[in-house]
Amino acid sequence: MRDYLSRLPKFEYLQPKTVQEACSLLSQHKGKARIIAGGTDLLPRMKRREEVAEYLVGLKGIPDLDYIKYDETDGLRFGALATLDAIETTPVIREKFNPLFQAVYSMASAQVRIRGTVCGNLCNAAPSADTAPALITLEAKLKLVSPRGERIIPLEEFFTGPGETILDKDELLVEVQVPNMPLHSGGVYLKQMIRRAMDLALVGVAAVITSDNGVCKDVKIALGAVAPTPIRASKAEKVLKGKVLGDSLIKEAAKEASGEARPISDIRSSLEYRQEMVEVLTRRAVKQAWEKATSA
Amino acid sequence: MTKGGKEMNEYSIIGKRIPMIDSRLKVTGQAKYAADFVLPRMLYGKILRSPYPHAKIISIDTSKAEKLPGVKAVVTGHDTLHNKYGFFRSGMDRDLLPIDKVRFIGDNVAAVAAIDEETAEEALDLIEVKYEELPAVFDPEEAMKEGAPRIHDFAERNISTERHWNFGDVEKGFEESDYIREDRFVTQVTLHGYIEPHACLASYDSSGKVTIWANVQTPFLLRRDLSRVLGIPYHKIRVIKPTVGSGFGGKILCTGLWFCAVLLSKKAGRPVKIVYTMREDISFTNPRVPVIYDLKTGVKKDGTLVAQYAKVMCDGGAFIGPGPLTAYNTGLAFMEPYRLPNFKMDLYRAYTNKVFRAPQRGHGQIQTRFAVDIQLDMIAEDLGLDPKEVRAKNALQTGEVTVNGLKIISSGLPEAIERAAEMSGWKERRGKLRQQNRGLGIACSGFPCGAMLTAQSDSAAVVQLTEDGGVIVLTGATDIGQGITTIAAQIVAEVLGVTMDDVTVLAADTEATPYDPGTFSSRVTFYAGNAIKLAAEDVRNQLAEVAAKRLGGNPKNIQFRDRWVSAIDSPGKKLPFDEVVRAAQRSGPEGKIIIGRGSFWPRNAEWPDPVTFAGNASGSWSFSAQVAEVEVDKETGQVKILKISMADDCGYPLNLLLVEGQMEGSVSNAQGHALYEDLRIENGKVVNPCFMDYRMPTALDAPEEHEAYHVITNDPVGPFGAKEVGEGFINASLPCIVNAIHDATGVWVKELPVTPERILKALKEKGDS
Repeated sequence: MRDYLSRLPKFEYLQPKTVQEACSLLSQHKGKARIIAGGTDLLPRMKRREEVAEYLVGLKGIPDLDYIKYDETDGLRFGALATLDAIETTPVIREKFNPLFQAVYSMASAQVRIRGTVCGNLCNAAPSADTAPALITLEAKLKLVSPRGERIIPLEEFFTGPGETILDKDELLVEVQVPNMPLHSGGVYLKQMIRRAMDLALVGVAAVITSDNGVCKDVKIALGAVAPTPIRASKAEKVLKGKVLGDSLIKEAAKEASGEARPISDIRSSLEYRQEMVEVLTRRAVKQAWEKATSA
Repeated sequence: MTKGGKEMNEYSIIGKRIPMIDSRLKVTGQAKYAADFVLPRMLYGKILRSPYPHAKIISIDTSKAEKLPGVKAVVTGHDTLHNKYGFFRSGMDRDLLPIDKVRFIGDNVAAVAAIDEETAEEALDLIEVKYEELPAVFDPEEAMKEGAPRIHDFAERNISTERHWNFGDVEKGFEESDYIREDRFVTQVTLHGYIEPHACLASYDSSGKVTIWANVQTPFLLRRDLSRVLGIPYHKIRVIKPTVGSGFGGKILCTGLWFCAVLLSKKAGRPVKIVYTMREDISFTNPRVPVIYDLKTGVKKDGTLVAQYAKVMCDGGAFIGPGPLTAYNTGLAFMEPYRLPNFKMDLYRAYTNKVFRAPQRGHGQIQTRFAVDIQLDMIAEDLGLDPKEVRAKNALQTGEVTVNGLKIISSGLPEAIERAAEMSGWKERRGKLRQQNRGLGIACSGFPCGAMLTAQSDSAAVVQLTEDGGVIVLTGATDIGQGITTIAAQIVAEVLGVTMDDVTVLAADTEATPYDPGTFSSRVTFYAGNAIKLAAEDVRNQLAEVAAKRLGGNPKNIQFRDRWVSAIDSPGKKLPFDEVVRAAQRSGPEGKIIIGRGSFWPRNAEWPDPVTFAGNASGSWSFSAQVAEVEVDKETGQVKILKISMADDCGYPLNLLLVEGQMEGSVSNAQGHALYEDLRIENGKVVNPCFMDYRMPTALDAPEEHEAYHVITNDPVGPFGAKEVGEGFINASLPCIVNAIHDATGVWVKELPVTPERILKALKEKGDS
């Protein structure tokens, strides 16, 4: 029984000064090294021995990773060290990228948000990661750097399974890029929890809708905690796209979303409840996003 | 917001809003908890536990662990006297380090002391234990079937406690009833939820004396248990209680560390500290016993209770622990707060291969209150009655004696019901808010102020004076955060007419403070408060003799107030308090060091009859009535508590801040038990041993509004008229929330916790979703 271990296992802390150095350290200790930013997911897992890392590559010594930048043409960019708290308290994010604000606002405790980072939340790749559905509907892209150079990929293609991403062992997520929403757009992130704070999502639903003269010109719906990775509810989107949204259509789309979800039963919730909540939350999210879009 | 009861100005310190005397130390981090203590050459201990729910121990080989550098001692059951341990003399069923077999996942097998925690943990991995797995049983009903795996050799059908109560004539009662209803209610395993895990530092010195700093609710019972298990006489064991990060009943029974630390210290010849991790504490210590009720209730058509029959099945875990007391309390909750002339109960507590159980706030009673108060609302609905009126009709009143002999010497319950209803707008709003998905629910509680169940129930106290007129109180009463040291200082300051700042309280050091059984059964203010008051009065009487000589008149007419001593018989004459103290203690023909003594147990209480369990087990009984207002999202099943209207009868609130803290704390505690908390045990293993998946309410979940009203009944036995408020109150908080959910939705959930999933399921079954 090693259930009760409280101490971190022994590891060596490496402190690169540049992104390149970080990549080469990862490359040098392939498979034995893990990146650490806030450590709010990694360290508890190491204490429970669910994760064994001989080396931790700390990002905090790299000067150019802690930033949040906004540009009216290019949109939002933030670095690997941008904390959940910084995202939460940046007014432009609350104003123009509201689903991301709502996701971060719903997460963990103030203490954890001060340490944890959005990029860490993404790389940890929990199916229930709150920032993922929000950023997927906002069409976020990720900048990944490895000794072979850099690549930019849509966030939607990032996740491959629970705790798994397309990141190579020596690759680093350095930046998230979020384009501005088109005119007449609105978005929300809704999260079903058991209590009202400090809880994981049983179901998370993000929706971003763009309206054009009362018609749903574009819609993106993403679901969290109901599949091995965050997923798009594309069938639900299809129901809505190009239509004038009303209650019955939204209801139909929500039903589709529920069918697209592939939840499991676990300690937090039954499969059936998750499936049902996808429907309820999708209906509410689409409705709220549509209201925002049509009044924007 | 508070509405007072009657005049609350008759005292200068009692009845006021006074912050806890140790709150500054706590918020600045200066308060010392068990894990903070350090001694030179101290070692760190860790405990090896069984990975199997039920297995024979074939062999334990510690040789490799002993050879690990840094390991200073390893102990197993072979280092013990093989003395069994238990809470009651009748229930000694546990080896704290068994050598024959293990009975739950987490049963202690060995312990290691090393120079640091890492080395101790590493050593645990080097201990080789050979087990032979035995079939295990996890369900109490299964455990009691013929042929089920036997957990203890002596326990036929795995029954650990069996109670058959029979008061009045239940058959006749049902015959005379106009309406009878039967339901099954199920409660879950809940944690105490304290924020400080078990911790201790033990030192066994070369003179054979043990000193242990332990975060225990019952220092004197720990002394008893250590003596029993280790064969050390009481006077060579010193238990010191530091600041404790709450207990709620979870720090009464020996869970292993206190005993292992002493054993390791003895073997290593060095002090040993053991601190549980929270996961360890949650998985392997002692949660609340879950209960299944098959409850049959008969009433007159106006809702008057006539008869109840309860078949009660308790899932007791691997050891009996406080089982007989829990069983008594479970029955007791049928006898109060409502009048019930005919009652029969068949209660069984079965051994199962799971973590054993401890008392927990509302001990044994909260489960019954859930069953009874929900069913009472069902009956009211069936008969078209107002649930509040049904309660008012059945509420116990001052002067009543219950069918099992409880003497109700003060009851503010009838008024509490009216007040709680008024605060909630019951009359205008109950049953009328379902369209808005809102509802109101009512429930009541009653509770003993310490049940007479241990041989030595007395609390004692000593009050001493310093040369400059300061006051030192020595009490064994155990402050675990509820504030008895503050109450002690208030009582003494009130009696001696000094300020709070003039009083220092030394609480719970078994070598320095007088005997007190400890903090449980909501007994502390009632028992220790009285003992402290008696000790202070003893001092006052001695000082009055001296003052009367100087001021003139009868010593009985000497008054102590605001640090002045005056004589009613000689108006206008007064002396400063410290001058009287100096005069009294000055060496000379009449001088003496003044020591006040107090010892108390309520002479109107009695031990329940060992066969019938009749008898007035408590010196008095407290009551409360509460109304919850909730809002339910009928699509998600989410429940929000909007308001709790709380009317208590704690006799006379000695400190409004502390009383309301207990009330609001009870509500949050009950909210968790009603809605979220559920310790899940699968095949004997706790699968949610952390506060991420065992959810207690946060500040954001708490009711948006609390409103309190204190019914003042001035209890004739309690100190300054006070009764308990720490435990009984929660027992109404829980069912009133569940009843409010029904008012909002029209559905009943008869199994705790009332989760969103269960509410949605019930709504679907009703065809309303």
